Amino acid sequence: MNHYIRKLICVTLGMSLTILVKADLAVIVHPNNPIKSLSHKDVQRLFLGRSVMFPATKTKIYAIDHAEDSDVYASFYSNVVKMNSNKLKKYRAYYLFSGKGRLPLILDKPDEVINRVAAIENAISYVNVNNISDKVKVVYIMPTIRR
Amino acid sequence: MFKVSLLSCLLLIFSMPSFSYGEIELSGFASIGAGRLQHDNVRYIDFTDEWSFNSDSVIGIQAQIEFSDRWSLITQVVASGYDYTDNAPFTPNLEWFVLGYQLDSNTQLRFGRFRAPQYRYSTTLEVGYTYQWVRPSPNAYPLFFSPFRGVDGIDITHNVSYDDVNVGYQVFLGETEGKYEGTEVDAEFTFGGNIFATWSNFSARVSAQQFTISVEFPGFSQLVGGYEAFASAYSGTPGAEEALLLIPSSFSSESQKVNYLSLGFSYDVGRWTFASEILNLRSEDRNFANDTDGYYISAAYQFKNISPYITIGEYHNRFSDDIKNKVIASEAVLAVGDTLEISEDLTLDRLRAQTLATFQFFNVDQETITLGVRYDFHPNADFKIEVEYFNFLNGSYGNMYPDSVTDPGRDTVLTSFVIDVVF
Repeated sequence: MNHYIRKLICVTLGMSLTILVKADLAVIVHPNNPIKSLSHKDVQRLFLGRSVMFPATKTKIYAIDHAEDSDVYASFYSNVVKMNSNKLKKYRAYYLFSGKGRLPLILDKPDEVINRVAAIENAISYVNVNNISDKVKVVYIMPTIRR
Repeated sequence: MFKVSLLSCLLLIFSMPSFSYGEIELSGFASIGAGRLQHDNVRYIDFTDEWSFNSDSVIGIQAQIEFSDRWSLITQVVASGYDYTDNAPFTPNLEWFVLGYQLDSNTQLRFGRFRAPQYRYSTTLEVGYTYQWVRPSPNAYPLFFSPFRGVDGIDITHNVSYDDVNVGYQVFLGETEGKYEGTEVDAEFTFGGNIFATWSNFSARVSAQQFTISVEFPGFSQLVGGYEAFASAYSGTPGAEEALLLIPSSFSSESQKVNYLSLGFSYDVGRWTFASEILNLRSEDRNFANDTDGYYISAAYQFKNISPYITIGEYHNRFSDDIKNKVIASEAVLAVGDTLEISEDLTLDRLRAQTLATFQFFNVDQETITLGVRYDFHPNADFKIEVEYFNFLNGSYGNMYPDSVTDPGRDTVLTSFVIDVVF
């Protein structure tokens, strides 16, 4: 019995440690964007193309993704958008070729993502909080567990 | 087409100060597939008992442009190895040409040519990458629906969230026409709708569509000629001419209603995905018309990039008894056994028997079992291989075309593989 209790304590401690080692993701937009904040659902809907304009505006979003093999991309889609990579790839191809609209632009480096969001008024993307600069506005922060 | 788009694209990129609007985005998809049937007495799509490449091979190019927050244009040209018409392989077809107007964040109005949302994957039927199998199950995606895949018209789509449930609605109306294996089909008016809901790992959809259809099959001209000759030969017999000419008048149909309904489900649990679709088609029971029922149930297991799957399904097609009834009615006027021969070997009995056999061919029953594997070997490409067992029921040939109707079909196996790419 004691053995199980010790095991349980170890597992609980392990989980707490994992949660402490986290990297927050921030959803970013252009500083002139009138949006003050987005909800988790807003972020999901915008990045899955179910909504195409910023909430309560008539401005279409210009979504920007990181490279598909990057950690930040994997973390954002599994933890924030809640869609695994196998499903997402098929979903995106279906979305594109069934005439629902454009897919996010893909940029390779976090710096490029930030510079592009800083340059385009209707752009939206996400970065690790460590990479945030004052060139962009943060509208949502999601704590995520580092992989 | 491609060169013009590329040129316009380059011109636009260099002339636009901001690239977010006015930029032409080019994308595309391609599949290279091959397959072979076990038996030599049937043809399925373009498959025979020798390895062939046309049936699942396809290439498509899509260009889309957003002019503003509200206006956009999407066009897609698809060249299929086999498109069920007499076109040469890989003849380009304009499948999409649609102007979109975004009413609000969740609602879009579209005008032009687009795909009807009949089944789960009917809008991306040629984009093999979007689905699990080498090709969607013929039990719920009947091949004869090929001319109805597009609509020239108008539609409106709306997405809405109810708590954790996301729902997409679509209604559309328009017209479409095309050919399928020698049959000319003209749906002068069609309208329908589609509701697609996703909740957590579960999704469900329902789709309904009504067509007003005219069907012609020039291949029946010999039969028609036979009845005309006998009607003239029996013009002296009271009621004979009328009874005989009534039969070929049903070899085509004009402005008849067809109602289509499909239901679909999918459920992800752990590494498993279960999916099913059910098809129900009902036509007015006269002339050249049919009722169709079908379904498939599929289970797939995802292990890293490899995903084996199994699919089972059934398909039943009932051709209208109208022609059969008219043949029987003619026997009351001109009894079986009459030996008048209007040309060598052509008696009325033989013509009537030939008519019944011809239209019996459209009564089809089959069940299928499919085993396959999808391997995502690249972020934008997959390889799939599958073995599909077709069990033909009630002396029919299922979805297949026989070389000769004197050799009843029993079963066959289709082995096929495909590489799908999106770019």
